[in-house]
Amino acid sequence: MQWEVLTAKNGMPTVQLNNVLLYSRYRPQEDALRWVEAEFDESKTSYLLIGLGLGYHAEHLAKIADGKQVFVYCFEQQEFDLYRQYNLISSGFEIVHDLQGKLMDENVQILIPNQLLKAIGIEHPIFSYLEVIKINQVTYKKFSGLMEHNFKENLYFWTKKTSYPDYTKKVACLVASGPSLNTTIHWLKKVQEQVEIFAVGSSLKLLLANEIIPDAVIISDAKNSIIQQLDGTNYNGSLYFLSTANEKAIKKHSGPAYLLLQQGYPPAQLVAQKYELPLLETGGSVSTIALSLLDYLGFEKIILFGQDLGFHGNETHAKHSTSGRIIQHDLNLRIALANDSSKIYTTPNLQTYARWIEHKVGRMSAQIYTTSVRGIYIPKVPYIDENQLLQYIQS
Amino acid sequence: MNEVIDSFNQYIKNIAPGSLQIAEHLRKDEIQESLQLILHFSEGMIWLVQASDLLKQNDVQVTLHVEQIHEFLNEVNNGLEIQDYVLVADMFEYEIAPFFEQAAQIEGIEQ
Repeated sequence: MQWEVLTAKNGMPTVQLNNVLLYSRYRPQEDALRWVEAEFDESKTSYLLIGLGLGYHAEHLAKIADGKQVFVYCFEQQEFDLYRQYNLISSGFEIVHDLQGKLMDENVQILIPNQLLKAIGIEHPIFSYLEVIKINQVTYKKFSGLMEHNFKENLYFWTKKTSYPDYTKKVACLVASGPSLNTTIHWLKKVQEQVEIFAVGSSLKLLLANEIIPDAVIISDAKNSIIQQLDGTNYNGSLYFLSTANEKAIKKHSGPAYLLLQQGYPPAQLVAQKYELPLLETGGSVSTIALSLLDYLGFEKIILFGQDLGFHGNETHAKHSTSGRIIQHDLNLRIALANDSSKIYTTPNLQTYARWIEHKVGRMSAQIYTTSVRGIYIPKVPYIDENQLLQYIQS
Repeated sequence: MNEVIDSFNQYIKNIAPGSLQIAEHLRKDEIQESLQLILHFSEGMIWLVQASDLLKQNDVQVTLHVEQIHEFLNEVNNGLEIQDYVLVADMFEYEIAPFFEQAAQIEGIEQ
């Protein structure tokens, strides 16, 4: 990695890593201090800061952590040497060179400057690991108030149903609303009697328009925008909802509703304990939570529909789905390999879900297949075409 | 024309606080929020340049340096392209906000 120390306008040293500024070119220390203040969660018992740099973040973090343990991850010797060159003493924090074995539970706050992620770049071996954490933190920070509100409302109106229905069929189809669903919805129509169909909220209207009534719908998003997923439909089948999912959307549903509780969200963990309900890994999106649910329900085969996690051109979702958007000049677009070996676009979030599925599948006993020929390639999730689908369902 | 002058003056007054708000979001890693505000900012700048031209055509004295605005937009764009958000935050906080804090208001139509 290339480190270059520059003199900021206020005379203090600032640093560029791989040509990306880690601190302000005007007031580097003040900039770092403001970032730490904005990130700092005083309820945590210890802290792990990623990146030592010139020590501006680390020193302020140690100061406000006020005696609590602070670890600072240093990427390489050159970074350490630079730090030592500009700092005579380091106090209040411990520099670590290895993340293996570092305790990362809910009492530890991991602090990752976004700028540092940009600077190390996607090829760095720990980039994807750090990116998942960062994406989840940003989402949580943005929606924590809304999640809390939803949780309270959802639990208040919860019917205290503590068991999920039994499903007799061995094969579950998990339907998301990626562009491939425009084609594969016709395959689904042919097999609908032989499988259990679990639809994520955004694909419901598209399924109903094609006269496919799913066996269950899953929603997880906290935002009001998901109200439209159920609104105006006459769907009254099973609804699985995450504890923090939009409460107004859930209230629109008249059929049976089942609560899903997520790992890593302390209020949900308490409810799970009290009512002996399972805790599901969320993975960050409704489809990933749905996969955790299907794993828990014990299906032998799970077939993914519309789970593209990538797209050709600028269409991110199937036509008429309730999540479609047109991507224009998105700065965050990345190129990924598709199941047909072509190159497709993806985004950091979608890539994170793909990586999560890859790891999850390794821990599941069910066999997982995808029907998205131009969806993102996920190891251990083979692509099947229409004929193979018919075969697999009959076997 | 007085309406344009009023809007112009009002808008100029709002730019510095708006720029600081963008910088603050960027420094807190709130990228989506700041990108949304930057989009409004660039639309606002286009309007400002058009309004400035219109006023000049009507013999209103405008002291705003339009070339400087183009330069800001270019630099912001370059920073966004390489996703160097510290650079972009610096631009908004230390270049754009002070520039508009000092930008003169139009006092009225020159007779």
